[in-house]
Amino acid sequence: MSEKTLDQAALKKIGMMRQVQPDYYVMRLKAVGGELTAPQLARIAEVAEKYGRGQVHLSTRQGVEIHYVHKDNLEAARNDLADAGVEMGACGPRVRSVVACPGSETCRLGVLDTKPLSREFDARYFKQEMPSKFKIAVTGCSSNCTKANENDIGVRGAIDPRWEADECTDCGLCVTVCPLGAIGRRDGDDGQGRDYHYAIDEAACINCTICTSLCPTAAWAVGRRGHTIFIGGTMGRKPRFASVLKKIVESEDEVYALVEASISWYRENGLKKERFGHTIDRVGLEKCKEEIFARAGSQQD
Amino acid sequence: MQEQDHSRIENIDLRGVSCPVNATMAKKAISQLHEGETVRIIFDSGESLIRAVRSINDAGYRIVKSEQLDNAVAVIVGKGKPAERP
Repeated sequence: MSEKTLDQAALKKIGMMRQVQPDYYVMRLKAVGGELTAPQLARIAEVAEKYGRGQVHLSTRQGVEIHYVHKDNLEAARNDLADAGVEMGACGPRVRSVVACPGSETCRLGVLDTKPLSREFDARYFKQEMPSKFKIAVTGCSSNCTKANENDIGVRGAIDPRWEADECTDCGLCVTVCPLGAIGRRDGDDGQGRDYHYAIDEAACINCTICTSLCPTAAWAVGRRGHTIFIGGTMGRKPRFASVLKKIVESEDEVYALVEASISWYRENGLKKERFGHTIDRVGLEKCKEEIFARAGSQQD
Repeated sequence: MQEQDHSRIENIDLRGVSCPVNATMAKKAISQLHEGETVRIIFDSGESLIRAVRSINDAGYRIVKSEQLDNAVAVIVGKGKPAERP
């Protein structure tokens, strides 16, 4: 069978890419949020031994790739993997494997339980056709380990700190530890008999938990807890940092509505091979955001 | 055995001491305080300050004041029960 008789686009759809070496392919496997079970890893190892060259390549998006699989073995290898519940990844102009950090389930800093959210995004969007490649990331807090703002859609755990005057001893620690310098101590009557109050610069605040977790007297409490949604991030040849769609989205239903609206907007407005962020720049961020919020039936911050 | 008097230690400059050694040195100094005494410790600003403060909090010591310096932060830490709130 010659290369010409194999439909390369169809192969890319199921995560198989032609290598430099004639007749050899990369098998890209799916690992939602970087999760694989021990039996799945064992099967991947077996398949790499049997059909590849006994080694794997770890991708930048938490996936595993088996390289050097001969085209005649692709189907058998895929079946062996499927038997252990290992699915193929995706290449080409479609939604790729959803990446996620471990999140609040195990991470001491986590604000968001990233795994259920990433599995839901996977169930809804994985492999769906898009104008260009489309990457979704979920990250549990502002430490941003899975780089929400390098992805077409990024969801980041977020909290809104709230100052509790009655708990505050005026030590000023929050002012000196805030990584963004977003907290200020203001002189003057706070209306309740104190001659000072602490205030947050909302525009500078990245909704992390430094102030709420370090305040010795819990005077910074977690107010709202939710998700920051980013749109239009990309690296690649023409990098673009993502734009914030909304800083705090409390309900998961609204998260899904905004993500769905963003994706449908991009599908209608994106040109072929144009990444989401570049579509946003061509159309204009404000216009794009207005249309997305209208579609989602949601309000801006 | 006579207890050594460390109440004269007022300032500890941990600028240039990296994490986690800065936190360890800070906690050692605080542990030598008597109840009610405080010590002023200077840390470099940034991630290592955050980690040191977290470590001081976790150890049950009490931060009573914090002051911004050039690229550094001075933290006054005490041992014992927190002061009455104003």
